[in-house]
Amino acid sequence: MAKKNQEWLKAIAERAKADASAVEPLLATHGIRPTPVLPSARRLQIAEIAFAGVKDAVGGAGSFAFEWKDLGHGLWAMLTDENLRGKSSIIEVVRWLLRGRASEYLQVDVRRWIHKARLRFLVDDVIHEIHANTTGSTTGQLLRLVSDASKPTIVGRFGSDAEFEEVMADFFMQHLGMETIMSWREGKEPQANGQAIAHGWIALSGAMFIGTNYEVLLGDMPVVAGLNARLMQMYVGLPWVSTLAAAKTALHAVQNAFDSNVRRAEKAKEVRGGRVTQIKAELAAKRSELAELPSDEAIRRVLAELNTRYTNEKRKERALEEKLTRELSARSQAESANQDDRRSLQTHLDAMAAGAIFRMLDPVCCPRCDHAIDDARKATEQKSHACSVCGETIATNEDAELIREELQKCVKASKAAFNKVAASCDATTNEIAGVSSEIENIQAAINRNTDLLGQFEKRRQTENDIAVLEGRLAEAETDVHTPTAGDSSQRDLAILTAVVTETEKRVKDLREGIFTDISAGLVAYARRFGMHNLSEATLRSNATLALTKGGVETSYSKVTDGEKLRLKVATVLAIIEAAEKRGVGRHPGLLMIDSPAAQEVSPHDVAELVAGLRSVSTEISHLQVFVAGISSPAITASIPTENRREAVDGGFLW
Amino acid sequence: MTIRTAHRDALRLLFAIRAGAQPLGDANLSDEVGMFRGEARLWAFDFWIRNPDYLAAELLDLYAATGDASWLTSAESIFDNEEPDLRRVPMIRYFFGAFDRLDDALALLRSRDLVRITGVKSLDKVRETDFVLTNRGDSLCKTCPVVAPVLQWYGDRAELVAKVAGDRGGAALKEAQYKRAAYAETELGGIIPSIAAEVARRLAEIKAAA
Repeated sequence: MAKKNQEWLKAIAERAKADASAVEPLLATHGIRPTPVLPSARRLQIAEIAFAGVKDAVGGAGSFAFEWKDLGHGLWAMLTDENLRGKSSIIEVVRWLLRGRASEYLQVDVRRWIHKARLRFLVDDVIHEIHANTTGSTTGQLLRLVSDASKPTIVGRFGSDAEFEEVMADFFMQHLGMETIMSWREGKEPQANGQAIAHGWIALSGAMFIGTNYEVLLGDMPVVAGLNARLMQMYVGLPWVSTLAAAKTALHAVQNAFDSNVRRAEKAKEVRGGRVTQIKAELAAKRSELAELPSDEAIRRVLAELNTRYTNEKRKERALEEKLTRELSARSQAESANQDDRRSLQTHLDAMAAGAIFRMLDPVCCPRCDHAIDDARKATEQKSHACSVCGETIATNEDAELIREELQKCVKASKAAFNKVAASCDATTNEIAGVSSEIENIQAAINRNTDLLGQFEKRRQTENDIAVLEGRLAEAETDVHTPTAGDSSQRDLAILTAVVTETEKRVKDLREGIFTDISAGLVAYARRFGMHNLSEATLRSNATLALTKGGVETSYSKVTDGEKLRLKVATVLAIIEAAEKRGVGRHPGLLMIDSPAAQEVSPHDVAELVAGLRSVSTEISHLQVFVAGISSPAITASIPTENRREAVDGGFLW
Repeated sequence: MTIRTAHRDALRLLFAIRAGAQPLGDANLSDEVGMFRGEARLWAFDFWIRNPDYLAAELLDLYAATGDASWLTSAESIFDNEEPDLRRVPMIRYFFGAFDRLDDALALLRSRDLVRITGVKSLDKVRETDFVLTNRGDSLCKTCPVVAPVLQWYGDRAELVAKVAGDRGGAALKEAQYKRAAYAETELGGIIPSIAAEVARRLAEIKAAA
């Protein structure tokens, strides 16, 4: 066994290209245990059934006590000539006690009537007894009786329905060597996570009871993904089956977690991509903002230069203004001088003209006394040029012309001087305007740069913002943990896949032969139960059953209920037989069959089934079969009286 | 360089007398054409001729009072020809006695018998001095612009002054001139200041508003 385990581990490690030391912890984590060899099947046999209580039903009210002792291997029957006379309830009470939980088929009033119940059974050869007080909540204990004489050992006590179920499940799972079956239930939404479901004793015990629901071939659990197939494989008793189930479930879980991580990582990557773009844009904006904010040193250098220029230009402006003042004064003087010159010229011209006029006029009289000028004085004036009035020499007009020329030169000179100084004034004024405008520009530049100096805080803030953004960018660009080949989850997946593959390989090898045997046995038993036209059956490991009946291919789900009943029984028997022959198999050898009402399955079918079972029970030594059914000669003929509990004439079994 | 202006001053007065004279129309006195009454009035005429800026101010007042555009045109012409600068003949304040003596000029006019000086006397006191324009004086005024065109201005200006003065007497004219000059804050005995700049500004305002 240890050798097989090592070989299995080595194969997994090789397949997954992983170290064996990495494989083992993972197997432990997921509860995957190698099961290369199964312990031989334990036998379960009912020895005594007893229950008592009070009926409150019409027609049979009152206390009751049912007891059926000395039960052993072979075929046993609970027979009534009418339905609803308590035969099914006996099976359900046994089921209730074995499972620790009543099935849905136990009628509510029957459950209420029963106050006490006891079941003696043998696991292999060890006697056990369940004592249960079932009034309201179930209390009681499970005992082991080594011998009749010694004091029984208390295997377990229970104080509630839940504890009862727990005690019975623990006991049988351990003592019958059963493994919990895991199945995987997918999430309802595509993105939702599925979950692993554990199926224990309640599910496994279903293989010992055949009720009136023929939906599935083995057991009584509804069709869930893989569950019926696992149940089948468990009872067929193939080694590695529970290992495979656990490995598949673990693979599912890890794959699911991995997918979910990948989805999350992809989503995170998408979000991160958007975030990186956004941060980059913010960073670019901040950097260009910073570039436009010159450093303080640069500003101070510029300011110093501007101040020097300002001082120089101001000095220039002052000098020019002084020059202009001088020039304006000179211009004003030149203008006055020119005006004076022109006025003098005008005056002189007027005076010359007036003088000429007067020279044409000889004096007529003395302006002082008004005496007329006599001819003698006039003659004297002609001769001596002495004035005829006052006797003074009469001046000629010769120097008047000189004066005029002189005055005209003066006018010209002063005009030229004025023009020259006026031009200078204009030039200086323009120059001052230029310098003033330059000074204004410099002043504006100084103001601008002085304002920039105040932006030191802004610059510092911007630099800080950039540092923060760079940090965020680095953080956002760092690839978060995306599952890759080197990742542990990826490695786990590889290992688990290898586990499934390797285990499946081992299961498959064994399975092929055993299912062929079971199928053959199934046909033989069914024929013995009256299905004479069944020529071929193929039971597959996924618990489907293909049939050839009357030369026509069909399947389990398509045949009649009477045929289904016989096929279900034939399947259990074939499993038990094949397992027996190969030394595998887990079925404890107990089978309780509740035959249905006459309208669903014909009495003839039941009769044929019972007749067949009668002979089979002698062939399989440890088989114990209970059949509940309507009394018929065919049945009573097959089962000896001591193996029957019977109620006739519409009577009750209890 | 001395400019002798006695002849010019004499002619200026002759034109003033002629412009401000009333026709005599007496056939018996065929060589006397008109009569200019009052020495003060003659001084007032002379003042306006010698100070074109003051005359322009008077013209603007008349324009403001009458709305007659010809007064404005005359004022504009004075400035256009730079007369306040070129034609100004500065004079000592004369309102209270001390003033340019016009006797020299009048003597020149009298000696040529262009003007005869007469007056109204009561006892030994001359109450009013009047100036008679002789036929010779009148003729000379007509001849002057032909012989010497530069003297045309004096005749025109005297006519304009006479028009401005109207029939106001010497006292009234003196009063008006005194007010304006006093406003210009003339110091007693000082040169009568130019008001050209102020009048030019006023003219510009009027033109701008028109």
